[in-house]
Amino acid sequence: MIKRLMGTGILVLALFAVGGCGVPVTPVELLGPPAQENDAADLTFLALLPEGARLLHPVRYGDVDGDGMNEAVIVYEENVHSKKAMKAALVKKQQEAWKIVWATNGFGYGLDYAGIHDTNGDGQPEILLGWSFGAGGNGLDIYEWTNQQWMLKDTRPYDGPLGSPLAL
Amino acid sequence: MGIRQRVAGSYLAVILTTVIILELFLIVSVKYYYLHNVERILTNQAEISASFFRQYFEGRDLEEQSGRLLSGFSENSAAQVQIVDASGRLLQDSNGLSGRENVMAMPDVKKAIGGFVGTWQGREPVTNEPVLSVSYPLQGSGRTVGAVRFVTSLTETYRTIKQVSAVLIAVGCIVVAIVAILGVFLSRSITRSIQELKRAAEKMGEGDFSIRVAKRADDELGTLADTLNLMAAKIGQTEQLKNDFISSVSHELRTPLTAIKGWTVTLRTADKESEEGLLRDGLEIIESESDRLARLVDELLDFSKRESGRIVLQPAPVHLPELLDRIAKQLTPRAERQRVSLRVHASDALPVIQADENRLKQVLINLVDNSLKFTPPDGSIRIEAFPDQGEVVIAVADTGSGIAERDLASVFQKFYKGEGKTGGSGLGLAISEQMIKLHNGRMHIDSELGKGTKVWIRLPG
Repeated sequence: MIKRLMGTGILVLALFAVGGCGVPVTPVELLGPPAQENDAADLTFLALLPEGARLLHPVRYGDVDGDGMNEAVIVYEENVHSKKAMKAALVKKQQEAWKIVWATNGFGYGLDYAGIHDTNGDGQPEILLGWSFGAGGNGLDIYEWTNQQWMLKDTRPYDGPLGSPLAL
Repeated sequence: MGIRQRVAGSYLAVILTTVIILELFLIVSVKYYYLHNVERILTNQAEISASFFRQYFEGRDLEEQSGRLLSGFSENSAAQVQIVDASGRLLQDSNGLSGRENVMAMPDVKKAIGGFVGTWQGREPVTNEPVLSVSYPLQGSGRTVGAVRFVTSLTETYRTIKQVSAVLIAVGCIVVAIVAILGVFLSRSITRSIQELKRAAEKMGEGDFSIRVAKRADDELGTLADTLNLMAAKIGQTEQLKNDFISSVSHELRTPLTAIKGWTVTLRTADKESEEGLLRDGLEIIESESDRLARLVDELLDFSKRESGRIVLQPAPVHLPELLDRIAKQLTPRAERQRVSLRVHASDALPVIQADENRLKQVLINLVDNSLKFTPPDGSIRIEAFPDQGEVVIAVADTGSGIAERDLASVFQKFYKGEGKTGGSGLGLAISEQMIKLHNGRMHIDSELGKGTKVWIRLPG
């Protein structure tokens, strides 16, 4: 009799563990576009991202390390534990396979601008990420390759769409 | 309370408890779901706003930028958005600055100014409306320069919670009602059986033992029905036996009484010139019939004593040859009348045994009486007694009509009287066997239909 009770108890606990004891999210947040038919390039990049991530366009290509091969800057929206987070990553093709070599966090509600340009004329392209904050404007992050790593060099707010990045 | 109410009541209690527990859990969960999600959404929005500020505006003056910040923060939120400076002074309010708000006293604002996320749920001081607010610190240059506060009304939330709870409770009530009705029907099958049993038992209590209960299922109630039926059958049988016994005994008693009465009348009304022989015969018959009556009564008494377990032997040394002679002498007149010879053969080597003489006499008279009943004229009855391997054997043999083999086993049963409705209570052999058994002896019958019967008694020496 005791054994049966214990068995049932363990089963119930297991159900809880599997089902997840968390509070379910609101229906509004459960809305999301159905999976699109992705082209080959997108699929490759999606494979590198965690489950449930959404790739934001456009994907920018550029040779950031001067090896003659283009790298890509991808921006995506993670959906982990119903917490949406914006992220950006630099992916490089190594031995026929794309790999994420650097990633950073995003801000705001969406991506306004992504680009690879040499803004300061030093021959080394920078990575520019413009995060949208709705009516409150946008914010631009400029990452520079310094000391063998990508470092955030500058942040500044801006309004409206970015024109030529060199106009900064 | 009737059993029907008890059973249905227990079903109701079970389902009520279940539904109440589930309802409580559901309602609490629903409330928690709504409030938790509201808080989470607000916190999310506040966090995004605060991190945006920190990333792009930290070096600038908050007050100067506050207007632009407000439009950015509040665009993506349906809540009221407020921006306070490091002292808690309200800089911006999406509801419009009226100058009367005092947010710096709010606990969540105080916490945010101190550099931590603050949450507060309570009533708006002015309007008394239930609200939830989340305040997030705005950080720049390594210190907190102010806070952004998101405030939402909980009126709609509470109303929705109430609506959902009402639906849940209503459904719960319907479920309980349905199950209660179901329970009443289910309990019927049990209570119906019990009520039948009750009615049958009542009838039996009033004396009607012919009633029987139908067995509905093979469970405890079914077994009870079977037992009750069995009991009624047994009691009915016993009643029948009792009635038969009474009528039989009454008949037995009447026969000698009739004879006695008849002869006394005859003797009384005989004139003086009647023969002496008539007198002697008559008185003899009266005496023997009286004996018979007495014996019958004794048998009945013994029977009742035996049924209540009160027979006690009084053993004393007994000389069997003397006893047998006495018995023969007593019964010889009757034997002569029936023209049956009665003889005794007692061995010289018979030891003196310990026995209750009166009881032994009773047994032997019973056996000889039986033989006399079933032996036709010109037959013979022989009483033997001899020792055998440490026991004493007494045998009464007759040349009577005998007993059929199939009846042999039944002769010792109470009330059994065998073929031919002869007199007697039918208890004689049963009592005799009991007496012998009390002496630690055995009784046994050999018989052949048409030839005769021999009854063996073995007693311990």
